[in-house]
Amino acid sequence: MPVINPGDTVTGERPIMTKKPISTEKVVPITVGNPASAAAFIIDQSHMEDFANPEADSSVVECRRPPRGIFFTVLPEEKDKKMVNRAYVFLLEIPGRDSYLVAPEIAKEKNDEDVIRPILLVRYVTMAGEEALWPLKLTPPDAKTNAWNLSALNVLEIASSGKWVRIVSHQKQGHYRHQVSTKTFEEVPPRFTNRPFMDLIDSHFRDRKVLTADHEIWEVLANGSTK
Amino acid sequence: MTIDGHTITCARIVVIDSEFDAKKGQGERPGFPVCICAIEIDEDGHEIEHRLAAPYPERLPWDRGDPFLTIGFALGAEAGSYMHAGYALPSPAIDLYAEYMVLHNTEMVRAAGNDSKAAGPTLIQACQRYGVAGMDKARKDEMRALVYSKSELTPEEIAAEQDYCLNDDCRMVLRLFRAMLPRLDLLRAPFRAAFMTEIERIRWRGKPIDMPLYRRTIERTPHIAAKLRSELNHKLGVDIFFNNVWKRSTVLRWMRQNQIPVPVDPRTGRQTCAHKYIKDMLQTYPLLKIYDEGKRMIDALADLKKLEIGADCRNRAWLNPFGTKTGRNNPSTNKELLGLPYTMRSFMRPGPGMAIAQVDIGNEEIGFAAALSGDPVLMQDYRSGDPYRQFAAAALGVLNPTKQQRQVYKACVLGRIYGMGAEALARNLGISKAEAQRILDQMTTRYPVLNAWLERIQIKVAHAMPIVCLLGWSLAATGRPGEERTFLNFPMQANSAELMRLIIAREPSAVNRLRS
Repeated sequence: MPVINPGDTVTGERPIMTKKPISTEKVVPITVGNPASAAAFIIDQSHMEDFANPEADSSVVECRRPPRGIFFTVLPEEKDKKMVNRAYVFLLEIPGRDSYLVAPEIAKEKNDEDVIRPILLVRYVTMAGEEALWPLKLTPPDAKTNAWNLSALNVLEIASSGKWVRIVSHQKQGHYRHQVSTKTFEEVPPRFTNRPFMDLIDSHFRDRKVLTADHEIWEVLANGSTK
Repeated sequence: MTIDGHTITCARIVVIDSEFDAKKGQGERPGFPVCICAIEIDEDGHEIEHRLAAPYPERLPWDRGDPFLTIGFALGAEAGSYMHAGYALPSPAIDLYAEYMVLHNTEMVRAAGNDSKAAGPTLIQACQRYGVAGMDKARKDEMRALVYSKSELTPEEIAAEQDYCLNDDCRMVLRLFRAMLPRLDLLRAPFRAAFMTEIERIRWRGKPIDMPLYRRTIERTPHIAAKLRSELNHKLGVDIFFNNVWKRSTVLRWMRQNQIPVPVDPRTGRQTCAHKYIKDMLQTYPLLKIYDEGKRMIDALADLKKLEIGADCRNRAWLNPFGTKTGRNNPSTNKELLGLPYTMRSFMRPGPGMAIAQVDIGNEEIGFAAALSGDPVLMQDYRSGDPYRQFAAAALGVLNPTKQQRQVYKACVLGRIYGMGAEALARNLGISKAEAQRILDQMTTRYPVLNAWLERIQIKVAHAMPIVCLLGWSLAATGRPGEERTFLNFPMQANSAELMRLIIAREPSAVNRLRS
């Protein structure tokens, strides 16, 4: 290349190069991505999770067995310590109505009502991030062992060992089977919210807590209702 | 100055422009460049102005072996000039047109005010957007007219073109670059510029057309169209073409008579049979598919003369890169062969000893949905090769679902990704709303992670936050009713477009990483 001084014109048949005064704004050196390395600049798609606070979208807390076909997990409890994410409760269940949470002293007082039964409520979360309560029926001390209840407790134990589990009803055999996902917590971390367990229970049973013996449900049980 | 593998540090920028006969609308390669001009700026801010004209030097005078950054506006044009002159395509480069489209996608969608998107800007319009001094449009038109009107320019005319190219266009691009610089994504912009220049190489080659067949078809268009209209009337059992005139009211009545649900145009509130509203129903209603294919073929036949074919019998048309809100190319549906109905691709014919392969990515959107959401079951189904069959088999509890069953579950999966509710799905599939809801529930059950991910997208969109794709293409909510459907589908469509750009820019390592 010829050396060109400011203001020089390299002449030929027509001018091809002219050197001009200094530009006011400096733009070089400039570092840009190598187009052959586009892979190095792929934008992490986890930003899709921004603003998606799972606590915010769970105003309704379901209380039901984890849905078939969906992997779920539960939090483990420390042995010999007070349970944090599980609770033994009494539920009053009438066909066609949502269940009621019954205070222990009232359940004891109404122990002749066969619609009240002891339940283990367990907090669980599905692989999709839906948090809910799992009511596990407990076999009363004076009753025969129920294979459904027993197998459900087994599934609970497996789920609480840090696994994604799917519950499968085995109608012919009369018990639940389970399937463990090959996905680990590292691959799909469980998205439990920070909500206290009692808050979940309150959310679900909001207006359906039986805390006194004069609750309207006793009138329904005694005399029936058209509702 | 340096290249460290992933980044390149340049001690010089070179703003380029060229003047040539663009031969717009003729299907020709762009004309040989009258001039190629450039402004080169070094680290000390010194400027060198370059004015080149034929005969072009073997090597560009600013190409001295060390890295420099080429800057242009719609670099495809300069890519054509480079190819004529025998230069390698510029790299690394920044195409301010492509960057404008990336930066202002949401704004352009909002400006259009409907489902489409405003056209890309001219250089003058882009300068106006950034408050940069532009040029007199009359001056631009005058200089263009000079290039377009004559095949041989006098030395004085060439010098005038060089003055204009350098002092008007290059200066304007440089001012625009300075104005846009704070907003430019310098890491990814060169990749988009590589795409812009490579698609010009694709356009440059063109698609070979079977001219005898094409000419025969053009000559016989009235006869063929009349026959097609008659055949379609016969197939449908009703005269949707009466005296060769298409009757919309007859089509709507025919749909109702055949229990085909009639969609409603949300903008007008009127019943419609427009392609964009019935296309999701075509797999469910074979009669409707016959109508749609026949009607599109007849319409395309009427516009067949508009196909842009050059003297070398090759079809070339503006591909309109980044022309849709999802960032896909948006070429004309009558000037570009691939925009015509599928069956008309048979006008494409390779020359002797050559062959044409049509390559497609199967189930691309589902693959992206699985990869982006991380849904393990959907990923497994996708890897099986036929995710819809897997879903249908699992939902129905059968080993081999029928073709129709598969179609129903395919419509459900795609419908959910497109934000379709039970009502729309029921209409498209011709089933009850309860049944459609049941299938949607089955999908939620089978793909819970996907479902949660789609919900999270909606939450993010509700915050009017942009959804940003793998290489920077993005879109934010504009506030129009019903746009959540766009956003549910956006990550799949737009990332598919990013993948295609990677493929075209020939970057295999990035493609492999995206695929994984």
